[in-house]
Amino acid sequence: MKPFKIIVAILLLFACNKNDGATTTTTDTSGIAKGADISWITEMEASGKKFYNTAGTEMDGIRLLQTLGVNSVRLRVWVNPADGWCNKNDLLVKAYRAKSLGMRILIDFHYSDSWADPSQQTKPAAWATMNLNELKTAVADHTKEVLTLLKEKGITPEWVQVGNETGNGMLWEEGKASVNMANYAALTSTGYDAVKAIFPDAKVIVHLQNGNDNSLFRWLFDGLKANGGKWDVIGMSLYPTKDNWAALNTACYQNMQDMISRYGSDVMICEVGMDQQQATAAKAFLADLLAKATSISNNKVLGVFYWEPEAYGAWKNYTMGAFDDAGKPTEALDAFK
Amino acid sequence: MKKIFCYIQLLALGMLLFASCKKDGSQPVLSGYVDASLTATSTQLALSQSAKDSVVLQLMWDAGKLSVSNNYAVEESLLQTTVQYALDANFSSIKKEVAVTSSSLAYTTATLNTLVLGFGLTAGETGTVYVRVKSTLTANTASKYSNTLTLNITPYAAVSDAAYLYMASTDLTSFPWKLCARNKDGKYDGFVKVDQWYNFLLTNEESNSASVIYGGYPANGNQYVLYAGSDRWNCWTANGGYLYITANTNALTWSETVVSSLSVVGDFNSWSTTATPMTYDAANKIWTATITTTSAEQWGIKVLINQSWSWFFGAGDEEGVCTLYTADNSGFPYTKVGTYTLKLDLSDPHKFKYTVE
Repeated sequence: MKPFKIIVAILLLFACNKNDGATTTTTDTSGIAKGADISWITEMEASGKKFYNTAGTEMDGIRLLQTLGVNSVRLRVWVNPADGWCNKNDLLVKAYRAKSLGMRILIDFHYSDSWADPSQQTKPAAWATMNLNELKTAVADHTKEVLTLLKEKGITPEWVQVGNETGNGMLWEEGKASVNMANYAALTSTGYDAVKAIFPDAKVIVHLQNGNDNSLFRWLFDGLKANGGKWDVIGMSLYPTKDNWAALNTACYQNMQDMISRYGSDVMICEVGMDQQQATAAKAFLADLLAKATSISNNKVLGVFYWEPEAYGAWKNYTMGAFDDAGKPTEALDAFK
Repeated sequence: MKKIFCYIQLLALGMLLFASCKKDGSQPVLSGYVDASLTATSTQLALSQSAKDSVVLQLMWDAGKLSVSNNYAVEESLLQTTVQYALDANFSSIKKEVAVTSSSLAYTTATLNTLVLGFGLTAGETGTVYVRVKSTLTANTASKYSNTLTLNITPYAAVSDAAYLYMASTDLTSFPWKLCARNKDGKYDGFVKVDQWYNFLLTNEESNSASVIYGGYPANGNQYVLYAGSDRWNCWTANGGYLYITANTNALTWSETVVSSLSVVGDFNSWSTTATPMTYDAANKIWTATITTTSAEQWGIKVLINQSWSWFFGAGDEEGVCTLYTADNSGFPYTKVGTYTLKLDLSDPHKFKYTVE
């Protein structure tokens, strides 16, 4: 190691690549996205969590994922979260880091101050008393404000998600799909147009939970379509167990094919995860899902994202990461290599 | 070995002088070692204790990505990056240097407040702090620096978050040692020196009428269970000597670990875990060691407990204070050159203090 360092030092003295300022790494946007949602990383780092490669060397957590074959990151953004993590500035920091490494970026708008998922789609506190028209304005303003912040730093997301796990709509009660599909469609289209106003080439994703549940997807996207709702990509989550992953993958595969033929949409697997302790099964699950995704013709399946693989050591009590208790990757992510 | 290194250097030098400026030559050329570009999420920061746990400042930088031509691999740990703080734009006196592996650094209001108060900023007044990123490839090349950012920060007068438990004699007349929960989270720890079979209680005040008095749970087999009822037993240690004690008032448990040695490690002793043991001065309750250096310690120094690399005193939040770590972390600054005495005072676990005299 030492002689190598010395040689490198000498090489440097004579290297002729003059470079003033940081590198502008280019991003390769070809091929399927092998992604990870890394939204927790800055908060984890601030709390002292560190990340190590399998050889035990401490590394930047994003760079570490990149060495494991991850080429894309997914980043959630909340409107005004209580402690600041995952607000627009925190999003910018993570997006800037990913961009510096030449990674592809998916931005995930929750339109909430905290988690938006099938159990809760709570309006941001500042939007609580708004009517539908005011909510549409707020969605447009927030979307444009966040994306403009990225654009000013030269960051261009390839995909933007309007709403998170919106199997029953978002911004409840106004945008609850089972109560008023037309409202949900209008809010989604507002988000869609706001994304395109800042990044015309970004693909807009509408993302639902339970990627194996074809009837849920048909119900929601039929409803969106009937009400003029706009989207480019149909997003899915899938969280199987070691015992049912094969069946869920098969059902998800059929659902992907149905979404593509029924709506002509692209598909993105926005979130997957499996129990951290079941790394071998998780690897098999991921490898199978990737194989199924790439087997669909015309590159209609855009990518697969593991949700928060770097969560470890009882971080927020989340147990479906892909790192072990020592902060090293499990074999699950080997499927991305 | 030295000769071999010299030979390699000469060989490399010769080869490079010959081939150095060929763009696509056959010699490997390292690129991506550049001045970092530094950005902050905010540069005007009026801090408020009411938002103490919220993230208030994030620094991010692009320090480039090292690569070598001809498909040579670059060791991931080759580039050392630190964030430097100073109160003058020339960085003539570095107030704090933080080693980082990630390419951003986040501060909550409370951590930033502690940091800048440690620099000497005054609560309630806006002070200026300069920050930049330093990248170093190897010890024998010139470091590279980012642009310097100017942060205008108004700290607040922090109300101490620390809470103490006092180790009391069983008759509650003397309180020789104390444990501290530095984050007021019910997790107390501290260092004590007691005799073998010492019996004690833990109290929340240095008073025989303390409102909370913990002893042991009154049943056999519960030596490390805390209990605050009036039928408490005493806590006791079969070990005695210099001990590290923890007490968790949420879980109602306590623990003891025998400290058999403290040893100083740094470049000066080639990071030997045994070469520089510290000596305990019972009268003054401090640990001392004599250190001879020939240059400022590049990576700082650490004080290892029981010769462990994962249980040691390293970089602290303010000058003259070190932090107890249980995982890899930086050392604390040591810039004196010559022979000096390092004194470590662990008697108040709120802040583990050190001086160099």
